[in-house]
Amino acid sequence: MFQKEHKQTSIASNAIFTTGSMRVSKLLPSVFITLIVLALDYNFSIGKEIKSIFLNTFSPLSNISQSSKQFSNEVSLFFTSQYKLVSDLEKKNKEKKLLNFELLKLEQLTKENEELLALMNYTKSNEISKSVIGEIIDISYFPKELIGINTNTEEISENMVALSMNGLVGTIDKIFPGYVKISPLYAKEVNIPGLIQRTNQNIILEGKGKQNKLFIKNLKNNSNIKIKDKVFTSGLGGKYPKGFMIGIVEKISITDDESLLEVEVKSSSNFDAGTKILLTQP
Amino acid sequence: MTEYLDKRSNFISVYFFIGITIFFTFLLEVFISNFFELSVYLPLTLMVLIYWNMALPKNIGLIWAMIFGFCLDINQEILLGSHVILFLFISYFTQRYFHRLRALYTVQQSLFVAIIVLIYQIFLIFFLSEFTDTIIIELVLMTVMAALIWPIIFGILRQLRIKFVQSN
Repeated sequence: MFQKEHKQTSIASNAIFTTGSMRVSKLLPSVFITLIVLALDYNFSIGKEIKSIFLNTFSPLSNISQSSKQFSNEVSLFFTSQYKLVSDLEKKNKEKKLLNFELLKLEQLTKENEELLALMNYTKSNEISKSVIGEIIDISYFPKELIGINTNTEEISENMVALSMNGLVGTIDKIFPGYVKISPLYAKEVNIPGLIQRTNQNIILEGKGKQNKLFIKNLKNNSNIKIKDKVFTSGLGGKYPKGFMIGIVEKISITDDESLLEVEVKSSSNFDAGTKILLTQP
Repeated sequence: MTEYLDKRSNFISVYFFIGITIFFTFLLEVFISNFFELSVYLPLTLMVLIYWNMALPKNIGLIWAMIFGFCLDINQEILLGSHVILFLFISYFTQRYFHRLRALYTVQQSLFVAIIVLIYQIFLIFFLSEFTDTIIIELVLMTVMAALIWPIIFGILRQLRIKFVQSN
């Protein structure tokens, strides 16, 4: 007995310093295969395809579990008094969804009517002699802001300006058959004759391509101008109709040679708001 | 010399029993990883694989490491073979030194598993390239959790092995 115990102890103590029968030669084929798969996946991304195949193959299984759960719910409900109540509730929910959709459509229609009404009011103004309405179909955002509108281009000339329900928004950039592109008032090289409301001083505003910002050109150092002064279109030059708000004076600074003022006007036009645009000519 | 440690009776059933335990652990791991949505998760499949590599190195081979490695790769949508390579090297290492690992105390084994888990997670983070602000905290947390959970996994699998494998 003692001899047996002694043998077991010596085997155990030897075992700690031995290694298993696993050799590198057994590991290498598996590593080689895995590396091939890794390279294939890296180059051809087969992993995603395999995953989608797996999902497609096992989708009936997940559907079975879902539909069986639904079926058992329906069966248990059928034999209870709640069944009618639940079906009524489902019916009402469906009706509610439909009504909500109709409400949404009506809300949209109301907004559109309000917009059209505002635009129609512009056409009644004595300052506007010709106008054509168009629908916004495409908007591209800053830095190259443009609105594409669908309209009757036969009556449109490049001198026209664009009005939305919020006021003056831009000028015509390009005319295509049945389609016009509008650029904002603050686009580069746009000059707008303006009027400072508080002092009735005529000025020229220039766009420099900075979003929502216009600059007053050649304003003398001693000019009477304050921050928050409102600037309107003067109607001079015949391109822009008179009396439309352009913006509010936001920043006044003196140029390096101290002879002129550098005035920054924040444009009040909301370039990409609304769904309709009125193209007008004074 | 070490053949006496590994009985190869009823090889097929033992082989598939090992596969079934790894499969259920794999499902649990997938469920847990989906449930918590962390960048680092508890590698239960790896820990079960380590156990079987230590307990029955002759029966397990490298096939299960490859199969479930690929399954985890597909599940996590990472490069196919990332888990497999790690599983293969860890399996090799464990099977090679299983005598020494078996002779360790449970605390020492937990420490060994924690180190393996840490290395495995670091490699996976590089494969996944998911570097979040909390990744180090998650990494440490999961390593500590792996060390704490190891005795439980060891105990459960040992009981299962005694009940089902040896009675075959």
